[in-house]
Amino acid sequence: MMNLIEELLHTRSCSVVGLEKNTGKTVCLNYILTHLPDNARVAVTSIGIDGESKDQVTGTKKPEIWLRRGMVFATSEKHYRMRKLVSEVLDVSNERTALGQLVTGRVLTEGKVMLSGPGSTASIRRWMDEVKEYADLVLVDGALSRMSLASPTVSEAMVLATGAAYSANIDTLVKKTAYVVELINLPLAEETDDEEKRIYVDGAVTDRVLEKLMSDKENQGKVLVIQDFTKVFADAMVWHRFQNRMPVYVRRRSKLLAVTVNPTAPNGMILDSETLCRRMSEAIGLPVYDLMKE
Amino acid sequence: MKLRECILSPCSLRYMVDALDIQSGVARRQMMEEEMMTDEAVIRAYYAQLEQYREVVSKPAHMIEVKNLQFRLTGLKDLQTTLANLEGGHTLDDIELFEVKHLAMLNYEISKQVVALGLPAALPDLEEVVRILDPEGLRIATFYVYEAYSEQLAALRKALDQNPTDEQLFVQVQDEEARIRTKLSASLRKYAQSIREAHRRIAEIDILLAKAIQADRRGLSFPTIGSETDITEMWHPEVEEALRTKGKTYQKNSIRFGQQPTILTGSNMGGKTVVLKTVGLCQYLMQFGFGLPAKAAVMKPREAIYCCMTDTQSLTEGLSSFAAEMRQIDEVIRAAREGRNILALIDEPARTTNPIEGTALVSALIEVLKETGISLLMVTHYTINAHACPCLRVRGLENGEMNYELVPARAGEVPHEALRIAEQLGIDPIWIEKAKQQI
Repeated sequence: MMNLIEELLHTRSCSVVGLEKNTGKTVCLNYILTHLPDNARVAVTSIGIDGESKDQVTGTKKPEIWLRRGMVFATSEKHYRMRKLVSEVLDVSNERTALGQLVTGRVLTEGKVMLSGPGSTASIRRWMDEVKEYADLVLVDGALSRMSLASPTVSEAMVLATGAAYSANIDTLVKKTAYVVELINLPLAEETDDEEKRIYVDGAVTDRVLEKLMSDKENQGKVLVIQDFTKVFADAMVWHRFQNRMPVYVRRRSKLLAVTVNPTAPNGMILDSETLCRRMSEAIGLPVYDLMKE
Repeated sequence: MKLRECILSPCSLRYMVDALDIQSGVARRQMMEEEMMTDEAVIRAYYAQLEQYREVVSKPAHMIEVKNLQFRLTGLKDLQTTLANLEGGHTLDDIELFEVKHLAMLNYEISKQVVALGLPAALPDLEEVVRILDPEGLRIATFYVYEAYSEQLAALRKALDQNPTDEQLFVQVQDEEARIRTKLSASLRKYAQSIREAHRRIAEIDILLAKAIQADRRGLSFPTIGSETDITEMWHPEVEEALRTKGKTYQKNSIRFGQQPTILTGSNMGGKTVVLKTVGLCQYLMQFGFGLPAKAAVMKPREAIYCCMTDTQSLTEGLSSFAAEMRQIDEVIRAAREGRNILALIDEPARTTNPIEGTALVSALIEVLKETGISLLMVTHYTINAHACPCLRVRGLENGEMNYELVPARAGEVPHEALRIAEQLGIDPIWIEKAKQQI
């Protein structure tokens, strides 16, 4: 895991994305935040509508992150007022989130805060740009759902959190995670030079969209260009059938640095960590860490 | 009438407003809520101020300072809620205290820049506010409840730093912070009005600067206030721009009219509607303190401006175009009878009905309005009885070219150029020939 920390020190921005609630996204973010060296200049925020202090699905309390002195963070007015640390207001943005204006603060005495950051890709980009003044590394608590307007691909790199909450069967979990990793690794559209062969789909890429593209004879020999991997909502089977006919490219992509696993499901079921990490790593060809063991 | 309502008029006022390079949303909203000026002295004073700004922005040597000032003006944040809380006796939280401090420091910086440019210092002194919120004298626009406010807070924070997980200690820190915030809010309260004034004035500077830059870059002129309308070499900015992008030039024209109905006639495609719109635009621009698209202009402030021109709005309201037009003109008659000081611009009234009744309606309208001393500019194609009223005519086709100049004409002298123009447009010759035979 220290390799990941080392790698992050050479990265300008990184999103931590959870495949499912309780896959350990916040544990992962906290791990990174506590293991970065003291002199690292770090800023952190969140995307998506993670506005509620309680998880709407499982009713568990929304996790807080632990920030150290000197770290810069952005959160909504509401969560800024609820912070359990001493901090200085650096800026209040005119942009409004669902929970009020976006406040950028700097930690003076370490403690906990709930994150609820900018709501759109454009506004997160703007914030990341503004915060350069205070930070060399921007960490983003990324959301991965249709509910989020902002895409985690705004960041240069990405860490994916998966675990038993996503699937309690090792085979299925590995297969499902490998599918997402495959999507994250889709090549950039810049890497295909033939502009005329491109078909652009900017919105959601569903089974229906793919079936329609496949049924049209005119599309033979063309390539599909989508916005980013978060737009794919297609079933893996349909997706693979499609990819055999038409290559797919993305307009935005983040480099996947690592995958973390949480072998414990919310219902208490625990997978064998060692087997899981080994199988996962074999399937995706990237380092896999069990955060609970680190 | 507020600017926000007036930009709905068909005179392209919105075009000029949208083209302003205003830096903050606060300033734009403030401008939209401004009432139309009607008092001569107020308008004169406004233009005197705007003239100072124009002089500044017109000098190339000031370019960088002006850019810097514009950049600074982008920092104005909306403080309405915070100010309401402060005035309402509430304790401000860290975010609100930050906003107040940010504004006070912004006020200081802008004040300095404005004075350096040789503009009048118009901002209140908020140094006492800065002092309250910057106990360490750092002069940085960030905020937290500083240890300098209380020794107890300093001691508690120090202890918390050593035991960051001690929740009881954290609660103690919070209690002490809350006590200090209440004290700070109380001492800020007596400056609430000055803070509000600074907020309003900073937005005002943003607006003045944008208007001055617009006037300078587009070669607009500031009006002289007089008792009639006399506009020299005016142009319609939106039409001018459209022509320019097509590589064509706009022929400017001049117009003068006073406190009586003035008839405007001329051939089709002679730009009569554009004249009406330009006059209306100039009137609005003058009463909202903008530069006017003309070489020079004498203007008279009005209580209200009526633009009776075709628009599609009436269709959505379920009225036929005739009914909508009649209602609009009815309003003008009522206002004129009440002796209100208004400007009315009416484009081809009753054109959608039969020419016999149409001519009767228009002639009668002139008669009715003539007695009221209204300032009215009206376009019509009908040959009407208006001997006592001044008439203007678009010069019209000359050697196959349209001359848009406005010249005095005799009453009832309506040009008959429709057929010639239709011919020039290449319209079906058999149709035009048959029409000629009918005359």
